[in-house]
Amino acid sequence: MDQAVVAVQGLHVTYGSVTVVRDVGFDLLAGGALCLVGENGAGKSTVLRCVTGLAEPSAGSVRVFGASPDGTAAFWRRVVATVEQPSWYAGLTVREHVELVRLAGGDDPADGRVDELLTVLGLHELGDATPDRLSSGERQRLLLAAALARPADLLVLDEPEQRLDAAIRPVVAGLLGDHLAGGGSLLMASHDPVFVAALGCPVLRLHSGAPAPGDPVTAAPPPVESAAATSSTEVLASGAAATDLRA
Amino acid sequence: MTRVAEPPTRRESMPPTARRLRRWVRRRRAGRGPALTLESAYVLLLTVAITVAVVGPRTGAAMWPAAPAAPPDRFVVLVLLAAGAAGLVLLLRQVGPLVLGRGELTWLLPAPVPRRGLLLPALVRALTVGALAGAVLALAGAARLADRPVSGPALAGWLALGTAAGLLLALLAVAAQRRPAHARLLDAVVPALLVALGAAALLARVQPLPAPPAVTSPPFPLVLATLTVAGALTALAVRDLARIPDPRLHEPSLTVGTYLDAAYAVEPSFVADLRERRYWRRRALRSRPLRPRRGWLVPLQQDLLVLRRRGWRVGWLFLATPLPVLLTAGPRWLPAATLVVGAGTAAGLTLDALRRDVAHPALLRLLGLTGRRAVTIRLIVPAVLATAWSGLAMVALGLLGGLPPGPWWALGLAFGPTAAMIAVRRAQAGRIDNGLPLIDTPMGAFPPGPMLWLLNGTDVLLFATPTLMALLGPAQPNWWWVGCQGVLSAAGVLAYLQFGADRRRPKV
Repeated sequence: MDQAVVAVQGLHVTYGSVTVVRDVGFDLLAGGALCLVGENGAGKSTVLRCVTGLAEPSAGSVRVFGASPDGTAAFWRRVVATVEQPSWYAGLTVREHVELVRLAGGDDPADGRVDELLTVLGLHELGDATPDRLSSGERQRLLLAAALARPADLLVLDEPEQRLDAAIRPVVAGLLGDHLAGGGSLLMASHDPVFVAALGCPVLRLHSGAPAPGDPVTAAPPPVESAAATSSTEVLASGAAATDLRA
Repeated sequence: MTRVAEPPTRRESMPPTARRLRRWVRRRRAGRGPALTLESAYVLLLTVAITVAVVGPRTGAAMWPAAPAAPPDRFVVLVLLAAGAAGLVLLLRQVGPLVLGRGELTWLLPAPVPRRGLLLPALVRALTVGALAGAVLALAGAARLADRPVSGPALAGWLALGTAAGLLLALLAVAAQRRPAHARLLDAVVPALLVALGAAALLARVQPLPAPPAVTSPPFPLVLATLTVAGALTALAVRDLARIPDPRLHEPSLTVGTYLDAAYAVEPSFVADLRERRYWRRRALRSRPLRPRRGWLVPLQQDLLVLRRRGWRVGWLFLATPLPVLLTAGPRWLPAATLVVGAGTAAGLTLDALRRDVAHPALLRLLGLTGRRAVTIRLIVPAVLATAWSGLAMVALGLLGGLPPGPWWALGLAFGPTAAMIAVRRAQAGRIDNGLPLIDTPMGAFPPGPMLWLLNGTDVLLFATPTLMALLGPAQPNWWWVGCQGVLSAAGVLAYLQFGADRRRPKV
């Protein structure tokens, strides 16, 4: 069996007297995708924060690439996460932010990838603007452009579709599909069933911090565009709480 | 529930006055409890009493010396008075000067409330500040330029003249707030005037300039004319209050609101953040390509780009390098403190990125840089800027500061990296930690967070011992002093990078 990119077992997270995540477990294999869904407060973002090492589990284990997410620079070179809004650098334009990330990833910022991302995400005309001047939806597009500007073995995205208009959501789904087709893995949370369906990735439904009873793991139907990336996805459910996802 | 039907517009009804609405709000608030508790009043009174007791006598003696200034110094006094007046205009422009509270800005400004009544308290506040500052400047000027003894009527004449001049300056700032063209002109002329005054004061040190004659009291017609003009212009300003457009009130009101928030929450980073955002919002930027071959120096490219875009701010800062030498007439510690603050300010020009990385390291994670690498690379531009600033300042000090001969310029260059390290430490300080346990004192408990925040970076001054000793002595430095300072600066920077930055995680 391939080694899981992300392996979560018996995850519990408690803040004071409130348990926000209880007994969540899943395995995400290389090249696979998983989407966490559930109502507000279901614990989706907390699970993502635990996977990226930004929150400490109260119990259970989280392994990413076979090790605890230690938050080192080496870890962040393999993982790109958008689980929090960054504070954009003052005095840099939208384009320069994306180029900066591309350059930091070891690639040539003039190789056309930045142009492609800015164009497909509708930011090309805003390349000389500063992030402070963008609307919240445009800032979300910028965050996604920056996240996709450099290679990453694992993308961890918290509601990538939030604040995006209906026209751009399929574009983002296509970009994520390209990431999967290239062998990358994807773990995300979402509130939009259409977006998840377009991506065609398996779904883990959380309810009040736990996997939803009677709705253990469902796989969304594969989309037309990214079917090749995810059509071979097989979902192996281990009990009510664990999934094993293979591309 | 009974529905009340009313026409959408009621043109015939008189809108309520701002005064009536303010009174209504005050009564509601008073009903919920006093705005000033006994404890707050006690702390306030105690603070004022201690401040007066500690600095009062000394300030009084400094404000009114026994004899007027010597003839060679009178020109510098005039220059300083003019600089004070220019500084007053700059200050008033920075804060508005017409501002509304957040509540009034949100609820009363868009309401059909007569604008003159709404803005009159703001105008009174601005004019009061101008009048008081003018009176203080006049008092300081009379104390240094007027022959002794100064009679009561003469002093009253000086105070009246200063008050009227202060009113005129405040009215100038109000007029600039209303008309953007005036504001642009004023914002360009006043800093230029300050630079010219600084140059004149510097020139007075090299070449004695003609001393203005001592005076007794201001000419009565001049006082009367200034008061009359100030009164007439004030009346015009009150009349024109109704014509001030809303956008001219929004930005200064929000700025002052943030200042008050920062004071209330004891969190200066609010102000720094707001000023930074405002600065860049006004700029029209054009993207410039980053160079791929220098990929490992990504943050350095970013800092150089930001520095290039700072433009005039860099120029102004370097025009201020003679400031320490201008302050050599004051206490001995003043030029040394100005050197540290000036070089640190120069180093801070590109450190906003580091401040943002401290507050939200999300971008640093996206870049995949360790804290140590980020700090190391982000230290380069500040170190160069601080070294250049302190080198130039020490050149001026060595030539014109009345210091013993020695390689002052080299000492300044060797001190630069330490100043940059102080700036980096302050940028890394982040927000004030208000979660620390209170410290009990005989006068009550106080939170140590603000004090620790203020002191952040001062420990690095230990590495500036040779420069500070040479300036405070003053001692005659030689190349051995320069070598010591260079070694200390290098050791301080290396030790800081070794122990003060995370070498594994993207965390600064």
